[in-house]
Amino acid sequence: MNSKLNDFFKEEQKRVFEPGPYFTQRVMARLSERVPTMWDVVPRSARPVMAVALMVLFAVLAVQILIPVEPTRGPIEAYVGQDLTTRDRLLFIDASQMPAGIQFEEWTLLEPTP
Amino acid sequence: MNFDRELIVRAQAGSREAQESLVKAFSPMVFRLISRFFRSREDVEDLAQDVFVKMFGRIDQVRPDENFPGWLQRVTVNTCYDELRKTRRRRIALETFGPREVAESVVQPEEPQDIGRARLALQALDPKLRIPLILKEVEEMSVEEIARTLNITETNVKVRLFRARKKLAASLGDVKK
Repeated sequence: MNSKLNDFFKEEQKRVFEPGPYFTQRVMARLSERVPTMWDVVPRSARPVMAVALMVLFAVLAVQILIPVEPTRGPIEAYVGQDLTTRDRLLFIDASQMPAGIQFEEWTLLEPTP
Repeated sequence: MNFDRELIVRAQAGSREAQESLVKAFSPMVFRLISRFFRSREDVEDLAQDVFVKMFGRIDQVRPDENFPGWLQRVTVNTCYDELRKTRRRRIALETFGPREVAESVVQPEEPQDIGRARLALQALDPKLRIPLILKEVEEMSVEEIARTLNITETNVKVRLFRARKKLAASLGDVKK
């Protein structure tokens, strides 16, 4: 090999930095300020695929719990509602959510009287 | 390298004392290895800290029968490789879009001209070629050790060494015609 390179490599072998006296403390300080995240926990776990699956499951459950799905009508109304006339349906309407006067009139007018 | 394997088990269990002992035991090796690729003390120290943070982040992956110093060497070289790639990208960007004189590409006044030129030629090499060459010529590792450290085949190491030497010889004007 090129003699310049050989000289360079010999010089490089002599050039070594030694750790300073406080190096260990600095590393330990960095370690203690580090908060483990999901990305640290998953690869360290014995079964990473299962860990990911569990995390996804927990995420879905959390969404379900925190943001509950509000049905537009309850189960009884859903079951009985198919056979109800519009006028009958008024019986199940929540009193706090009464339709506007005009809408109410429309419903009652449209309904054929027996 | 002599060290108590019990330290690794205790460090895996989260013992702070064992972690400190591991840092003390292996920091000279990590510093020496990083010094081969970086010339400023601050860079070497920063990277050594990164190496130990990574090491404790992945210490659970170390099996009891594993060659721990070899594993740590691999973590160190990979950290250096990532940093060298970043540095190279920055330097190329600076050379392309920045001022013409880039600080690193200047022969330092205290070193002989030939050594300075060799250093610049080596710095210009792609880290993929530079790292195996330095491990072979400066760290005096065998091809097998380099292959294990870089997680590549021995043939691949030989090819990279050949290309690195050829490129260096070309950039130093030592090409046989």
